Amino acid sequence: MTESFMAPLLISLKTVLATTVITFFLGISAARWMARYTGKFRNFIDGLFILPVVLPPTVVGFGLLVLFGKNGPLGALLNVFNTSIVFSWPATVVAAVIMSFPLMYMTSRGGFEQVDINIENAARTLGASEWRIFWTVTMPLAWPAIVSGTILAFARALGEFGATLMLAGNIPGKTATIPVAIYFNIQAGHMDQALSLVLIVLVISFASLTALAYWKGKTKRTTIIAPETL
Amino acid sequence: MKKVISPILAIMLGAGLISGLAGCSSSQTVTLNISAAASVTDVLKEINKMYQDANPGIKIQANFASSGTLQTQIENGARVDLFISAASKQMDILENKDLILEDTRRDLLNNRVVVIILNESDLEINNFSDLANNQIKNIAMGDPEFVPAGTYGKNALDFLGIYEQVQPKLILGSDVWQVLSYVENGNVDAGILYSTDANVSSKVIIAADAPDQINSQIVYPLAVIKTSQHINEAQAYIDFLFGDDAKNVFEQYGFKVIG
Amino acid sequence: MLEVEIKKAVGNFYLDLKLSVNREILSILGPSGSGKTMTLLCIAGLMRPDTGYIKLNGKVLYDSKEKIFLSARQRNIGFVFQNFALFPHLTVNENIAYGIKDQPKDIVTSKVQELLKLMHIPSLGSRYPREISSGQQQRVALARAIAPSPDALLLDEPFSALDTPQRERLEYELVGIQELYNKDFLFVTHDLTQGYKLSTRLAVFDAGRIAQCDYKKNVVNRPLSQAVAKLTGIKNLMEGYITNIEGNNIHVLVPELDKPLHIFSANSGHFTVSDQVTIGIRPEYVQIAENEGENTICCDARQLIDGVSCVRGRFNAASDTERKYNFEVDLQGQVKNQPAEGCMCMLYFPPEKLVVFNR
Repeated sequence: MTESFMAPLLISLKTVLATTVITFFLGISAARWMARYTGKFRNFIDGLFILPVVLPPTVVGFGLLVLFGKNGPLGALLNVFNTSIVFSWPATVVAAVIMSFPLMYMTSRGGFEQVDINIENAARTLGASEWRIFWTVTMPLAWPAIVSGTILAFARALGEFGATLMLAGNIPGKTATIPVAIYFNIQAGHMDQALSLVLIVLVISFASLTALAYWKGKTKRTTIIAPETL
Repeated sequence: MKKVISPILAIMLGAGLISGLAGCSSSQTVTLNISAAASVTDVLKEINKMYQDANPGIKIQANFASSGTLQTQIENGARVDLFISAASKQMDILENKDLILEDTRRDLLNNRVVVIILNESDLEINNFSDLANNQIKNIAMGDPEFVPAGTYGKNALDFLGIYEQVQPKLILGSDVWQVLSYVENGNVDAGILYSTDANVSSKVIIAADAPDQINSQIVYPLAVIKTSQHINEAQAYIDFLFGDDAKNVFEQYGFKVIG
Repeated sequence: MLEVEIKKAVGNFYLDLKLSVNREILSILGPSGSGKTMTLLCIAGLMRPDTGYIKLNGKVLYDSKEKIFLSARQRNIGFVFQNFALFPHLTVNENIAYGIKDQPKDIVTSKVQELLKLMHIPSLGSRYPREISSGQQQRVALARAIAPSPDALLLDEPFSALDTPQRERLEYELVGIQELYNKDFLFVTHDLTQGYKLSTRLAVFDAGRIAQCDYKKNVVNRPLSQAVAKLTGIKNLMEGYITNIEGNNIHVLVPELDKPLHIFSANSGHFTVSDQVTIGIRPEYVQIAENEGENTICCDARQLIDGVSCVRGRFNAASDTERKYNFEVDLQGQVKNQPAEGCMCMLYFPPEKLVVFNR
């Protein structure tokens, strides 16, 4: 049951696209909240958000499996609606989102924190709602960081293996993403198949990181920096 | 020149000394490196202990994994003395590549492919072909490409003509332990494994057997690897495996020794 | 009219003040850390006091008893920041228009044009903040704050980032703008001269409290405390006690100087004999006397420094005691009596120029 070449590619593209969109919104929301949050649990919540990037993916995968499995709290909840995400395509998205979220979150948060709070305050005194301030002031000024975060999250989602294998399993044609297919091809001794898939990931990742570097270089020359605070 | 020669000489001497010492160990204990299929893990551990107790001069280092993985390792030059595979396919590949001593190849064990389910499962599975039923949503199986239990599992599905229907439901594992744990954790409805693997776990039961036509093909061949430094010791170990003491242990675990 | 009475505790710092601004520029003067910016932020709705109330033209913006708190967005109070806080990604036009975006397009355009003209920067509309000078940036910040026709304007040391000519021009223009709009302006500064120029009344802050809020002449000439005196440039402080009070005439004995000093003060009613007091006098009011007499002290001229518009002199009081007083004198108008460095001379403290307050 060797993986055909196209199946992992299509599955990965679907997964990465869905993941990037979800991580984009989740990451920005979390970053915006934490950038201005001054409550007691700040460090704890921050640590929680960053945790997946520090843990081995298999550990995260194991945690997800416990959570979403038949005996886990979320799994039992889903069971009420007669669904389960373990060993299904949505699981690839869940695993990839968890693993890529910290990158989006950390980078975006850095961007938001860099925005001078006086500029946001000025907008407030001019009668803007928090929503308007976010879209017309904060986001545009944090935009470079947000783009960086998105591309990093994208690349991370593309290469995600450990957690995906644990939660989504290897179901050729359904959940076998490119990294999973690479692994099983190597195990089966199909080196040329494995190599082609490896090359695809390399090319896409390299291209996106290069695009990021190029874009960053371009915006630096026309950088919009607020006048220095005294 | 002198400055270059002395360090080189020293390194060469050192290397020669170390390799000589390594070779010298044959006068003391012999270490036999055995690569064996995952499905014989527990039974072979017990047999190996017996053998080492009876032969103090022999130390056995056993490496257990799926047969395909082991075969790849041997192809890539792993230092192995003896290979026990869970299917002929991997041994054939090695034989074709001239990596084994042909006259040491013998078929050791039989096994059967079965369907396993959780003890408390209420799924109706009486035949292997029941796997095609809609109520069975997902099935764990070893990857047929390199896990022998998976290869025979696929053969069984082909034989019964239900492979097309079942294939979308298959979750492929990289070895039999993974398949077993999938079933034990309750996240799959059923698993396809060797009966001996099922016996290892108390949480699962055997629901159905693969067709006899498939099961009768299942043999576990063994052979001495050509590059082995301890061919005599390996041969002695093989003889032990075919002896009565070992046979009793194999049968306790559900294996049948051939001839 | 802006009425503010608030209290706020932040760590060890306690803000506790009451002030009002009525169609004028009220300058808040004080050292850094005295709570000036915090006060502005509370009035603007960017920070929440612990207790108190804030009313603007009768409308309640904040009342801790009634549990009313209007957000900055709802207060219609303009704010000009020290570091301009312009939107770097928007043009000058877009910056100024930001607060009036919901009005019809043609009104917005004409208002922006009008403000650009008012601030003397008619051609900068399509530029970005990074492309204009700091003086121009602050003009844009002012225009932006005024555009929504706020009911009051708060300015937090708005000109300290500018060089002197830019600053002086904008000070001058700010007075004109306030007269034009006739709204309440609250201006924070650490520079007495600037505050004095711009406003009719001064509020002097000291560690979270208002030490004195009064017409500027009173603050400068009749400081109520040492803190205010220091901030308003009164130097030459001497410590002593009151020996005699007759009407508006107070006599104070400073132990290290051999005779009592005579002070003429309209506040004499606040004092009683034997009060421990501090006296001071501004450097520019000290005179060089020809002869010894009332309120004269014998000194030697330690150092004479040539300033741009004055000569500053440092004088040591001749006394046998441990504690020696130094006096700082601004010799600007006294060319003919100007002593030479190292020489002895007589300093005279006019009674009506001496200030006195309780220690």
